Amino acid sequence: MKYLPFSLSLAAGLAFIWVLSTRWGNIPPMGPFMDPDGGFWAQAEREPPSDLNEQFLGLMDSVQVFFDDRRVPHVFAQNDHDLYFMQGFLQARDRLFQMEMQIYDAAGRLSELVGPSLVERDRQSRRWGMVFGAEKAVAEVQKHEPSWTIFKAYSAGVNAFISSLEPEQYPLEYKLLDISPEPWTPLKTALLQKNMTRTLAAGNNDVSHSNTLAYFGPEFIEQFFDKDHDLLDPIIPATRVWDFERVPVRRPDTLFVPKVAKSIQPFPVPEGIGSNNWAVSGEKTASGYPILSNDPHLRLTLPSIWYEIQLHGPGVNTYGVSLLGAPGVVIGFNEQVAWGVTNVASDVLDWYEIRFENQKKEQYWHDGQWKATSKSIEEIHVRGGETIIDTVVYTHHGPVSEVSSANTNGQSTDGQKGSTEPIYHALRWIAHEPSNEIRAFYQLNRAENYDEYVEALTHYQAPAQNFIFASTDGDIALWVNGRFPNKWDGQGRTVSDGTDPLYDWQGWIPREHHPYTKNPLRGFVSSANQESTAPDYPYYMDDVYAPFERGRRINERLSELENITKEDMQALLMDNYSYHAAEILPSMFSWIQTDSLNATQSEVLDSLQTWNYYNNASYRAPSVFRSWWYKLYEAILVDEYDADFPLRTPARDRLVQQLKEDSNFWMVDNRSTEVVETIEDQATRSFILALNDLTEAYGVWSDDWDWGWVMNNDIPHLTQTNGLGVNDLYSSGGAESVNATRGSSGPSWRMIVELGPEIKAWGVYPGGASGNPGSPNYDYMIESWRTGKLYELHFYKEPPLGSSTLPGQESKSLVKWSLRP
Amino acid sequence: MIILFLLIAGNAFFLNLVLPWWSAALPGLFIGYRMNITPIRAFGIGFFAVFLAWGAHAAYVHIASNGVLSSRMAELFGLTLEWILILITAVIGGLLSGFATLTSSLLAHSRNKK
Repeated sequence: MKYLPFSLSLAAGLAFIWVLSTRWGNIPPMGPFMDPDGGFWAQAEREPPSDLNEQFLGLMDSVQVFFDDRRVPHVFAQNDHDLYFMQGFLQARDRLFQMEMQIYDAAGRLSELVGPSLVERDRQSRRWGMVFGAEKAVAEVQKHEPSWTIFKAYSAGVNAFISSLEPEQYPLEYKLLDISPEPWTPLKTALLQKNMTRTLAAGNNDVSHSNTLAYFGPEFIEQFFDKDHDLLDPIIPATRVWDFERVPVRRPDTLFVPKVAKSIQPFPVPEGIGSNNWAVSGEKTASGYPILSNDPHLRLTLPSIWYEIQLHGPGVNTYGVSLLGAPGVVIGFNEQVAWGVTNVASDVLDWYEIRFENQKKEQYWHDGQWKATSKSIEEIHVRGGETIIDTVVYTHHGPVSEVSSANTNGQSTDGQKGSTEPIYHALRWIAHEPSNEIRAFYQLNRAENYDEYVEALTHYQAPAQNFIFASTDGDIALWVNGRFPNKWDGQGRTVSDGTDPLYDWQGWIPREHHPYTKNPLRGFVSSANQESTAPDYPYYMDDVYAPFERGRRINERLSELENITKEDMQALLMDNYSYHAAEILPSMFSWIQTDSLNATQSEVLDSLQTWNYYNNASYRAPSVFRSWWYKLYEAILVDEYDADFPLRTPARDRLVQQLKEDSNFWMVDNRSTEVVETIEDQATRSFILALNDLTEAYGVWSDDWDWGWVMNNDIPHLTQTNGLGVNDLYSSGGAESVNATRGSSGPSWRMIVELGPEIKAWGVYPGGASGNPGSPNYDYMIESWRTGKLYELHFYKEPPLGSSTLPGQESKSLVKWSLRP
Repeated sequence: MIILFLLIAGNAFFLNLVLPWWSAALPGLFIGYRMNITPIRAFGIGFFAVFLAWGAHAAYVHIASNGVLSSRMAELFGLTLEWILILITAVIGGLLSGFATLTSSLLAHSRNKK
């Protein structure tokens, strides 16, 4: 008995240690997490980075790295291996968690880290064959020795950093999630590329378009989805003559009618994923040198998707932004050329309705015979749960997903009762073709002229991009670049017949037939995700492109401007003009019945009538216009779109044009009411509803309605963790503006390059070099990004040995690493 | 007494630099056995020694890093003030050491009773 108090105290102490060593729900183990030496406190950056002079295992020769005032690394290496080894090391040092997180997502392994909540996303990633595609890519990369060398060197660099870490040095997110880093492999670099393809080239409307065709009929399709907007200005100028015969393909006599399916896109591509780029020839610039500009629009997160770096080695000196997990520079410049990208919405993803012999799914019908499937057993490990086994069936088209049909009760995907008729859709997707995009960037980083740029692009397959180009030789160019299936007109717009080989991809558009333009007479090239070509281009690529607005605005501005300076380009990057509002708002004013409005509503309307159509943060008009348009759009479509399966809705610019042509066309009336609504009724009612919504959300008509707040621009952390993001950025811009900043997506990197004898370049992205939330460097560029400021980029031709200070900033010195093998 | 207090605090601080978080219990465990004081006081000394060591350590990090991370972590945990985060850190360290000192002190007392 006398040891009882001791035993109780011992038990309490041990229990205390156990409780604090354990992860409870999403709460990290509080003992190690709060430890002032090894816990999260260890990630609080206390000292500025310092010089380093030491031996570095894994290098083949000596390497120097200079970090400038924004901590952008400038790597000077003596061979390719060391160059990409250092890129891997530095990216891992600054962004390891982000690198790993993207790969866990791509490979369908998020459940391992997070638990059951992300099982469905993982299952979809597996069913989309992400790893299947990445493995094919690795096999392709191995065929090209220099590519394989840099893949391995990059991985070795990442792993050199990982193996240098003690657990208390793990980045903050590892401590929050109570996980450890995994070794990097070349397969992971390939998976990153597949992840980009999923982000940018997974858009498709096959199911919803098929349903829309079945539900509304072909005339509706023609009215809303076949016609382009009159103001559409294609990327390749319409004057371009196509002086070749297309490679013929055989097409079916009648279009296959698929079953009405209820599947929804697991990886939807929201508007806001889009980009601008342009290049003007020296004839239009004040300096006489070409100027190139690019701003890729993506989801905005912290850390940023991009990592700025300069890579200098034998035969290469390039600067720009790289993706976390891949060697090389993706958007940037070297001493002779500059390049940038915007997405091409070509249809490189098709669904095929599959007929299996029986439930075993061992054979499927194709080309008049039963063909064998193959199966992949997917094990999804779930943190705090049981491992899920999922069998993915592969046809020659690709992996198969099971979806439910619309004439069941919609519960069928899990085999529940009522699932009388599952439908099987096989995925044919460009991401499953062998490819080696890193080689394209490797060569682009070293390109000295237009011909070498064109040659580099032949190695680039997906996601297809409008590669813009300018050189110190004075050339400007744009290639709509990627690998495009040679399709018959409209192929893959609807769900295809999986049994008929006429629906298979029958070949590829030959490279020499790709749309491109070099040194056009107008003196500039540009793209903003709009249609690649005028309708006379001999091949079918897709029917879904961005609305005309940004592309037309850019082309109009570039046509008007002369003696262009960097400041002009900067202003265009930040241009907030809304073509959308300019097109439809005057009509909306003519429709609204002002005598139905009360005093406040009239005041808001009067104020809106003085608007100049710019989506500026300090204006309230964009907030009112956007709400009003949404309500009107909804009022017009709501009754017709009353179906429990997915349907395609008309594009914004197409509906605007329809309304302007015939403001009382058949969809305007709400059929579910007895009265016949006119556009006047709908416009008035939606205006009042819009103001009610705004009042509810932002209070009375005041500065709180400023567009800068209402657009709700937050930049969250990758994991959406509170405290690690930046909220309520008072911002200008809009989905339809060149400055496509909108809530949580927009320009992820803004870059301007002037191609004189000495390259001059400027850039900014909403984040910082460091991915550590405990570093002041984590988010420090956001304010400059928000206000449209650009940083001059320090592009060194030689290691800055003589002076260790930055030009013009004598007080700020470079941090220098001297590393020996 | 002050010497014991400082011995626990100092050793806990240095041990924590090389060993995992629970190492802050060790000084209290050894010293508590040799302290000839009541278990309650032993707990108090053990608690406040590491409360001070960890609290001061965390406060130093907070100040030296301009609170960049502590303000984010405070927001993450739904706290309004970064200083509460420092307090929580200090209390965890304090309880860890307090239990250890109490336990060994109780062991010493039990043995002396025979």
